Amino acid sequence: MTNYILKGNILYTETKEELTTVSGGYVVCQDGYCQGAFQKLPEAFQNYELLDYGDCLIIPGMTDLHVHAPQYTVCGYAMDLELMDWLNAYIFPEEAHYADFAYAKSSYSVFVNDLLHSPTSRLCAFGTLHSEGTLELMRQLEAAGFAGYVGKVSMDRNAPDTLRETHPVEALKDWLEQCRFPHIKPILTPRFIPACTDELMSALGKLQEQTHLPLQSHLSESPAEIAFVQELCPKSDFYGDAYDQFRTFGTGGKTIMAHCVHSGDEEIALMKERQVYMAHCAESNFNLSSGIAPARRFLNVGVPMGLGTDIGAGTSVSMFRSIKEAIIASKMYWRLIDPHMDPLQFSEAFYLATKGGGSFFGNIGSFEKGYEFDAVVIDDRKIRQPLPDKLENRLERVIYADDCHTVIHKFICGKKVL
Amino acid sequence: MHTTILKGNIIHTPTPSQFVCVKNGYLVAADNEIQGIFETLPEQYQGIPVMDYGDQLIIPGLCDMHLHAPQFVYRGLGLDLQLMDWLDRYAFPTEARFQDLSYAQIYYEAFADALAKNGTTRAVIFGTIHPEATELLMEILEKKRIAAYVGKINMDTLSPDYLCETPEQSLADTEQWILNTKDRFQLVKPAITPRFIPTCSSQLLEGLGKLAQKYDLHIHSHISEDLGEMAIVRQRYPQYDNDGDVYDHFGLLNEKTVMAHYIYPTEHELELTKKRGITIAHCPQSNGNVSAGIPPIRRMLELGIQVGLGSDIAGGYSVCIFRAMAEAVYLSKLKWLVSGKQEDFLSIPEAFYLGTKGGGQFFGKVGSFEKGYELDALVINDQSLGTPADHLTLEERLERVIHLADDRNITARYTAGELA
Repeated sequence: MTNYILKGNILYTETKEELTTVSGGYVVCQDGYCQGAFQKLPEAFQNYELLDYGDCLIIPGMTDLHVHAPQYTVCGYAMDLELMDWLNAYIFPEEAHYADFAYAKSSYSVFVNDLLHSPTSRLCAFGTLHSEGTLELMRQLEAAGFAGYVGKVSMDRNAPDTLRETHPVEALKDWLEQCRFPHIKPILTPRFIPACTDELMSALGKLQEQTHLPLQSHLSESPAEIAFVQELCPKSDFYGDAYDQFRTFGTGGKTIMAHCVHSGDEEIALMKERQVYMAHCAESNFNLSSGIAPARRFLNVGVPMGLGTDIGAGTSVSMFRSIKEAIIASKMYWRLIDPHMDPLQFSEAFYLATKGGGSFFGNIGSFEKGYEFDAVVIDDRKIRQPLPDKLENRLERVIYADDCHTVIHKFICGKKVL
Repeated sequence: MHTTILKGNIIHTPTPSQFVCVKNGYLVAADNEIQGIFETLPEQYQGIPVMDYGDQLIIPGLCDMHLHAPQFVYRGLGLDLQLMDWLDRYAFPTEARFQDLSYAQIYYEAFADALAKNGTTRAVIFGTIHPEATELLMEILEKKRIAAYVGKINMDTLSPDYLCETPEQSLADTEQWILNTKDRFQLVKPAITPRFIPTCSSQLLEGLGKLAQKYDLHIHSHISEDLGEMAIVRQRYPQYDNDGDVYDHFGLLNEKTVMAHYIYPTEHELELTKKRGITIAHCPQSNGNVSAGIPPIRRMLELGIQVGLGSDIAGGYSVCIFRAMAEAVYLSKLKWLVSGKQEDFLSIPEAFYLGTKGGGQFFGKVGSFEKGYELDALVINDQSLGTPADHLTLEERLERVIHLADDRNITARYTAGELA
């Protein structure tokens, strides 16, 4: 099945300002790429196989731009601390378990299975510093049909002995050589500056400039973390500048920074200049008392942006949840912090979860012609409420009523995975 | 007398400060009255059949202290609007449809099923202005064993024509509805339910205060939710600088009153609340969705004010009180941050207490497994929640349930002594 057509009610966002809807329409997949969404099926595709999903909704697959796969095992408890204490008390001890390959294998299978039933098609995931376990995560994601990036975490200071690498660069290069998956690619993953020595950061910067591999990390999440970075890198003007001094802030390749809750004007301006992606993880920021990232400011300035679940400080693998939390966070920001920063509209949050984050991978997250074909089929008959008239309203309801388990089929890179 | 014995991992919060856990314990009730929790089954109960729930968790039933049954129809819609626009576009037109009893039958069934599936054993519910449809809602709740105070709404001003009553008709309809329903059900009772001050004339509020007194009824409404709403009240009652004094003037504040939201209470209002013994329904998800703000829950708890949690369907989109607990915690963290870390955020046991005993006290001895309490209980299977539970404490397992569980994890529900 390389060429086929999905029929149903189609919704996507070409721009963040509005949803494009096609009632009873067709989206065409040809060799893994979208040929467009149509009200009337063009002649050229008449003999493609037709998958008729009736009155279901069809949306682009979603991109989870920041997620820690190994933390799925501690998801949902132990969130009474702020970031740095939380890492030491709960997260580091848990990640240390992933040295045990059998533990890693069984834990990752739970994560991958739940992800399969979610609206996510692409992800940028953290593994742990363990090469074998991280390769197993990649193998399982590949087998389940996902596409995206996974990082073996690099860290060599301010962590327990079991999570401090002695030869981090060699370990990374060794892992990179074993990454041979067609859809799940490696990404450089310094945990964050507090956990990486200057030598390690410089080596990663150099490696990125040589290989142009993408890079992901954390930025300006929590006040104590930011103060610590200032202490560790006294010559930096701000947290992002510290990354920049190691040439890991977008100069060597595509880069994602998660959170950016407390980013100042200079940091935001530098992200825009370097086209560094902001991964907005609203639920996590609530749970760890980090604050509210000013999503509207990033949008106004034009920093590229997507949403992340941030498992395990976020509690749900569902991007539907991330959309809602981003909207609620923006309302609270408007109410409590800055009345000039309008709350996110529904279409904007949907855009961030699809095309906004998807753009990190290329043409992903829309049904425009030439986009890679990632699609999710949603059956909203499970919601026992009268059907709203407008498709926009039906989609909004699906996303809020995320307790109704409405995702029934999923296509990634043109392949049916669910 | 019928003795019920449940076996499993029993968790409750007699006080907000901590979970009390009994691993592999026995919860014993005689009819609807809890006799105690035992690590080994006392002699006198030997031979009585035990409902053995194995490694599952057994917790008190959840109490939803504020929600609108008709608004279940459009939950999850229009949440990028402000409160007043949202009422005009969605709430009022939808509520009008409940005049039609066949429409009400379909969607009140769906509503009650959602509460039952999500483990709500007690609720305080707004209906619509229509007495027949509201009585139908009460019938459906009774049938599904959800214990509730239900209100026929009153509104006679600042309302769309199609939902606007005259004060005389509103009071006459309400009294007749009270007479029809007050002794009709075992688990469901009528509550006096003025929508909120802006949509009720003083004549109407005065009459409702008298009806509440005459029939000794519970009272349910909204208080200090939105700056726009509060401005209307200040203008209409310039002699008062807060909503609480207005309700109090009409005799609507006492220990049988529950008021939703309370985002902007004055110091005087908080004292009045304490003095009158009213219960506050904290609805965190709704407060976020309608951009209302964050109420001073920590302050209320310090003052000894009774606080429970509400889903506030459809200002909230989820009927699940576990979700309300999680969101109460995270909104309190945000308040802690923006207040310069002055007021401690809520702990997980505190949030659980609010969703069980905090709301439950409004119904009597409800929401805890202490001796003498009614038997409202949920059995939770947390096997599907990610990691195997064997390396977690019972407290951690319950915390994980609060954040991750949905209706699929609730395997049994007891309300007022009986398995539903």
